[in-house]
Amino acid sequence: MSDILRSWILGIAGASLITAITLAVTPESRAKKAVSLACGFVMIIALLRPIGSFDYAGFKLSFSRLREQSDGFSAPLEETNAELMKSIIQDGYAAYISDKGKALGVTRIEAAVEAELHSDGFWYPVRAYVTVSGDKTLRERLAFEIESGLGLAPEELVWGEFNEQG
Amino acid sequence: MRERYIAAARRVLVTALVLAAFLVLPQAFSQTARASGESGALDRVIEEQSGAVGAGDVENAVGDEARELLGGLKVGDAAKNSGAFGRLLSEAAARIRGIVTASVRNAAVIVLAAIFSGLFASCLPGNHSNYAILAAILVISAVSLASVNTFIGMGSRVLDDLQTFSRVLLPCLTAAAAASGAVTSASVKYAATTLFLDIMQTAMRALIMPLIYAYCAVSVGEAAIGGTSLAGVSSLLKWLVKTVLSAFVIVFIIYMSVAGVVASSSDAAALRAAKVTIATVLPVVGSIAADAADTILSGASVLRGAIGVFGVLAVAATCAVPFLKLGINYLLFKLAGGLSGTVADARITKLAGAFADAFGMTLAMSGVCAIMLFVSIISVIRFTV
Repeated sequence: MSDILRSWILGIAGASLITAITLAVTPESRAKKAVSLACGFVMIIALLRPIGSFDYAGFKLSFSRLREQSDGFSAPLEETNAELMKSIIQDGYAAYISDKGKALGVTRIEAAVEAELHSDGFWYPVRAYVTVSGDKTLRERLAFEIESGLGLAPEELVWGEFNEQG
Repeated sequence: MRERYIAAARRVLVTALVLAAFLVLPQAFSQTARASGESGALDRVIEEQSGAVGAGDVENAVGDEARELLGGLKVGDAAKNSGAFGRLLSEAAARIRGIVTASVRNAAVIVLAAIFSGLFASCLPGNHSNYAILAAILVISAVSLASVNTFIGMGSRVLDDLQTFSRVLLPCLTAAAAASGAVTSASVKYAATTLFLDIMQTAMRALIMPLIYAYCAVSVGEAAIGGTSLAGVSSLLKWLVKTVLSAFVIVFIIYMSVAGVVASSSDAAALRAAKVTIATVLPVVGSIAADAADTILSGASVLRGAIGVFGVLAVAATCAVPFLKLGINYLLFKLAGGLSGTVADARITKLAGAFADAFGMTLAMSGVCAIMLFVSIISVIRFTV
């Protein structure tokens, strides 16, 4: 940085000296306007020279490295989000089963669902634990609704009953 | 005439930035407050995500003085608590009297030196009056250069504090932004901000600070020698500092704007495509999965806003007291210069003004870093689909 600064300041000083001498020796005439314009361009080039010598390749490389580095920041959050997604979806499936049970007239129902991540990136239900109070007809109708809505076959449902005290 | 336009354009740009910040922040507050009131599931998601992304580390990265000004504010409270900014302002305002009391001494020295130099100069015959002026210049320089050194050190510490804080804040904010859908734009903005901050740090220490010291030295020489031989050099140095700082901010804002717009449009398209895909799988399974994905995205979005708002408040708190010290000293030195002009030589007035300008340049040096962080944070918060 100090080398760049030194060469820049020396460049400006040199250009100032040259333009000052040039303007001093140029006689007053129409040509002096053209010489002034040229000296102005020389000063602008001297001032803007660092922009041309900026290491754009190095800048681009550093930028790419930082972008790669930033990709790693999301890893812990992605793991947490995956766990949260599974938990929320399982709760959602369980809530669906409970809602269907209540709609069919089941007086008491508790549901828990296990889900697994499929190759298409979605969490599909693989097993449901349903605890109900009510007769077998209601249970069969609920099983039908669960199969229609969630794709769980009857053999993938684990039924339980509330005991008399519970 | 052109200079007036350029100066006016700069003022408009800075004013627009400040207004944009005040327009965006209330929206960030209201979005996060509304969203977090919707369900307990969302609160649980936000809490889990906050732990995973390291929001606690961001709170710990704030400096002690800034933390005191924020009143122990947490990331989770930042977005819900819309009075946090007002509290920060009132805490900072409470410190003004102490800063003025500490700073008025130097200004008083300038005025007294000017008064005595005026008195002695009028009593001494012929060229001997110059000795009185030189003595006053010596006294003012001794006092003021010590202040300049202290304040440049303070400005340097502000830069260090902001960079240390940004190294913790930016990864955390980038992770939250990526999780809320801004995958490409968050990465681009992180890389741009980090790179520009690093370049700026190097430029400040290797270029701007030496130029400010050089400006002070040349101003003292100009006052001691008299005449206009060094006036051009001091003007050039001042112009260089102002131009480099302005160019930095303008280039950064333009880069962030262009890169951010390009990256954000691809993020928005990808997010809409993902939402459509979720909705077309098995209806019940698909709708539950879509709701879950929305909850996760909403949680990340709320968290992004909360971290961003906390970041803005923390940067403001880090800069508050140093900026007040520099600003008050700038005003007091200008006042002292103006008062001393009524009784003393114009060289003394000009010297006091030059030291005031040195404080202003130091303030601008730290201000550029703060503005860059504000722009970066606000541009990440503002991502919408």
